[in-house]
Amino acid sequence: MKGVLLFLLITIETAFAGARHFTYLYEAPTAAPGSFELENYATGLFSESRWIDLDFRHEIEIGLTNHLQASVYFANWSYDRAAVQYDSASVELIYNFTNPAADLLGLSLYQELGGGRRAFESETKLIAQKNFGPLILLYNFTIEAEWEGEGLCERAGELQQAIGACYELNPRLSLGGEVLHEIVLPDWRRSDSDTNFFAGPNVSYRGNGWFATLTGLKQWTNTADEPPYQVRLIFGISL
Amino acid sequence: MVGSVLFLSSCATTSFVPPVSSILIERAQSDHITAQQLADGRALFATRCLECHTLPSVTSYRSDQWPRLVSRMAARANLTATDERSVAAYLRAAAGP
Repeated sequence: MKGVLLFLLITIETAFAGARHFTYLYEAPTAAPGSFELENYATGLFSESRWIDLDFRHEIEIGLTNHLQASVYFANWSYDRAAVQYDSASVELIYNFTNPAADLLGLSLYQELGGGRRAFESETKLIAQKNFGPLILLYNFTIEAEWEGEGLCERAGELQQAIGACYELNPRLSLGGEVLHEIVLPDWRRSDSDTNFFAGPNVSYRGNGWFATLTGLKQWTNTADEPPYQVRLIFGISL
Repeated sequence: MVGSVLFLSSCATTSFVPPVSSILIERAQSDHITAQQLADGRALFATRCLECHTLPSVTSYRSDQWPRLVSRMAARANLTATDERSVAAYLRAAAGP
């Protein structure tokens, strides 16, 4: 058994740094200082019978210090069968306070600011994570604010809680699940809010200098404005 | 409930990333490793290794196996030669005789 474990550990000598086990949740550890990674997101939104919309994001992730990483999302764009649309670009910082393996609880704070044509967006996230050996338990609390339209007069907010769990079968492969609970607040008014609930499985594979993580979510509420199904793939490459 | 989670968290921390105790310091003395180097090695093990994969138990391998494993993965974890020595020394001491 130890021989098998030793072999598995040796074979990941070129495994990807900063690999993600989840696609909708962020993990507490930050990238190693001096590391550069390219992460590509593709999210498909589906109705019962066909796809509705495809969203893409491309991110350069940079490890700045042992506890701080920065990212630039240089293109957030979408395709909805009718047209390709460039939506926005954004920057992100994640600061890690405590470690999910060495401390009682791993905590990080995430801030993203984005802007596009007549749109500005802020996303703040608290990330809590605990590792029990090969088991990762994760929680994200997110506050999102958007300003849109002429003079950025249209406002909207969203509160989101997400939990995730995954088990690393070996250093290359993990299986798990993600659950999202979001409250959408048009114009920040509780009376107009929608509450959505999504849940589904994920799988992650880490290769030599790359990783791919896939999540499929089903909507368990009946919100007409939200897709019944969505699938997200993140493909990352070490630079 | 919260108490149970904290207890389990504490056990997981001790099992997978044991703190730098007097026993570990004593074990590392024969390699001329200081307590500070062990503490640095522990911090690096917990952060850099975790970026790629969850952490194996320090007793999963013998103390003489760890330096080779750390050396093979040092480049991926952006470890300097000094970092690599600290991580290997910590794992050797934590793995025990």
